[in-house]
Amino acid sequence: MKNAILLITGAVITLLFLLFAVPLFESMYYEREFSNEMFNENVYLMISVVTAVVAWGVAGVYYFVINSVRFSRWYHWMVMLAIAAFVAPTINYIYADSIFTALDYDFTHQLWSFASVNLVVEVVLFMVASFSMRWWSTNCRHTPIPE
Amino acid sequence: MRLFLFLVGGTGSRVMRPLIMQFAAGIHPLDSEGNPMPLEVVPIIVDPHKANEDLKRTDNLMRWYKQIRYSIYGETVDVRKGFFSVKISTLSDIIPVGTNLSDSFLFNLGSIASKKFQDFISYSTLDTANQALCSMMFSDYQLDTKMDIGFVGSPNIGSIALNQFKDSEEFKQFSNVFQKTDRIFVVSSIFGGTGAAGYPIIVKNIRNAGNNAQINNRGDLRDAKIGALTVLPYFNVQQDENSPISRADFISKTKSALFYYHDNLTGLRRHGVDLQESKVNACYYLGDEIPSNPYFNDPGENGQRNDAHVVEYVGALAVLDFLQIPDQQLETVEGYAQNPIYKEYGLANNKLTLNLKDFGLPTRLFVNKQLIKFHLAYLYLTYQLKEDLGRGYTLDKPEISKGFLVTSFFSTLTSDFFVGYMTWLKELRANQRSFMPFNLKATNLSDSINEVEAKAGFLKSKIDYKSVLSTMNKLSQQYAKIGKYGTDKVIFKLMDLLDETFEKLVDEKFNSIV
Repeated sequence: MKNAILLITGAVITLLFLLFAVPLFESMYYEREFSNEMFNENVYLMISVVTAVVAWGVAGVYYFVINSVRFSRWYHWMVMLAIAAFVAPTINYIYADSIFTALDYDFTHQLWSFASVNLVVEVVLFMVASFSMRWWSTNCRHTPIPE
Repeated sequence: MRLFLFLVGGTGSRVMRPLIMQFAAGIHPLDSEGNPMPLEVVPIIVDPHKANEDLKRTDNLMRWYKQIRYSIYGETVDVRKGFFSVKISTLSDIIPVGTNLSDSFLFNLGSIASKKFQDFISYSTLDTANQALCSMMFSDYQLDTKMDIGFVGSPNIGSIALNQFKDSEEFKQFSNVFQKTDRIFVVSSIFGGTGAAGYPIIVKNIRNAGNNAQINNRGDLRDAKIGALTVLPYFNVQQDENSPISRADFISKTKSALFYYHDNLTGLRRHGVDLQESKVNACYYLGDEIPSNPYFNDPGENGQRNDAHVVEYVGALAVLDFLQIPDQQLETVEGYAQNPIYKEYGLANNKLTLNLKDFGLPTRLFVNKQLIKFHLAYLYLTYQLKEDLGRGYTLDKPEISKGFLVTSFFSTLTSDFFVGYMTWLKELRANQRSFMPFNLKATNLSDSINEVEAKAGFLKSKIDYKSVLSTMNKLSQQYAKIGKYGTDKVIFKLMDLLDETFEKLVDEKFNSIV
C-alpha cells in the first residue's frame, strides 16, 4: 500500500512538473529574449517531456533491467543519476540549439545556463522516479537508502 | 514424533555427531508419502566415562544445536523443514517442572563412575567361596577398574554395573513421559565394554517394565517400538601390550556378544529352538572390514578421542531409517517384536575415498541435497554474510543489522557449531575409509562439492555469492509481502531464506547431485 502511494505520488509530481514546466523553469532561469523564444517556439514542452522521460527511463533501467546485486550500492545509483543528469540536459541542449540555429539565434551562453538548471530538475525528477518505483526491484529496492 | 535415543558408550556418542550434522542440515524422516515428519529427539548418553572426549564433543554439539534451534524456532516441535528443524531436548526438558533431574543429555551414572568394580560388588565383604567365584569371572584388572573410565572393553563388568539403570531417577522420569506413539533407539558398539553391555540391559529393562512396579506407563514401555544400531568392528587401535584393549580381541568379543544377542535379544531361543521373535523391532548391523587409521590406544585415562569415521555417518542414517518404518511393521505383543526387521548397509562403490555419490541411491536421494545445502549455507554465513549486511534482503523488515554478528546466536553458530562441523569433516577426510563430501579448501560455492560440477553456460554464470544474494533478495521480497517473518523473527528469516535459496540454487546451478 505504502509503495503504491509512493508510486502515485511520484507520478503526480511528474505530471505537475509537465503541466507547470514553464513557470518552474522560468522561475529558476529567466532571461527575457531567451525565455520568450523558448516559450514562443514551444521548446519548454519538449524539454520537460525529455527531462521526465529520461528520469523515469534511466531509473527504470536501473531498477528493473540492470537490477543486479553487483550494481546495487548507493554509488551505483549515483552513477545512474549522473548519467540521467548528463543525458537529459545534453539532449535538451542539442534540441534547443537546433531550433535556435534554424532561426539564426545565438543563445549559446543562455543554453549553458539553462542546461545547468535542467540538470538540477533532472536530479530531482530522477530521485522522485527512483523512490516511486524501487520497491518492485528485487535487487536494488534499498538503493540508494534503505526502504 | 518423539524419539528417545540411547547412546551407549563411546560409539554411541560418536554416532550422534553425524546425526546432529544431518539434523542441522534439515534432514527429516519421511512418512509413507515422502513428506517430512516433525521430530523431537531426546538423546540420553549412557556412559560412565564422563571424561571421554568423544562424549564431551557430542554433548557440546547437542547443547549448541539446542540453543541454535531454540533461537530459530522456539520451543515448537512442529517444524518440518529448514536447517536445525528437528528438535533436540534433554530428558529434563520434557518432564514436568519441579522434578529433580539435571538439565543434561547424560544419564547420571555417578554411583557407578565413582567406584572400583570390586567396591561396586562389595567384593571385600563376600565370603571366600563367592570371592573365588568372582575371581573366576573377573580378572584382577577388571576388579580393580575404576569405572569412571567406562568398562574398558569388558562387557562382563558393564553388564553388572549398568543393571542399576532400572532403579535410576532418569529411567523413572523416562517412563513417566513415554507415550505409546514414541519410539526408542539404542546405539552401541558390540566390540567394546560399555556399548556391548549397555544395549541388552536397556532393552531388557524396557521390555521388562511390566514387572517394575516403580515406574509408570509399563504397558506402553513393554510394547514400545525399539530399534537398535549395533556397530561391529570398524576402527583400529595402536597395539599396546599394557592396554586391555586390542584389535585382535574385537572379532572374538563381537562373536561372543552376537551369540548372546541371538539367544536373548535380537533373536530368541527357547528350549534349543530359534523363535521368529525378538525383543528389538528393528536391528541394524554396521561395520567395515577396512580398519580405520589406528587410534591412540587409550582405555580411557587420557580422554579417548577418536576421529570421526564414515561408519558413524552411515550409522546415524539408521536412526532416520528406523523412524521411517511404518507403525504396523513395528508391532510388539507382550514385549516381543512380531516381525523383527534386520538390516545391513552396503556402499554403492567400494572405494577407500568416498564422496556423496558413493552411497546407494536411496541414501543419495535422502540426504545429499540437504547436506549440500547446509554446506553452502555454512560457506555463505562464514565468508559472505558480513559483506551483504546493509544490502538487499538484510534491509527488509525485520532488518538484519551489523549487530547481528555479535549476537549469541551467531556466535554459537559460527564460533562453536561450525567449528565442530569443520572438525568433523576434516576428521572424516583424514580417516580410513576417507569420506570427502566437500572440498574443504574451497571458499567459493562452485568448487565446494566434490565430484559435483557446478553448471555454467552461455549467459549463465556458475553459482556464486552474488547469485545467492540475488535469490535471497527475491524471496525476501515475496515473503515481506505476506509478512512471513513478522517484525522480529530475524534469525528465522536468515535461516529460512538460506534454506529456501539453496533449495532453489542447488537444483539450478549444479549438475546431478545424486
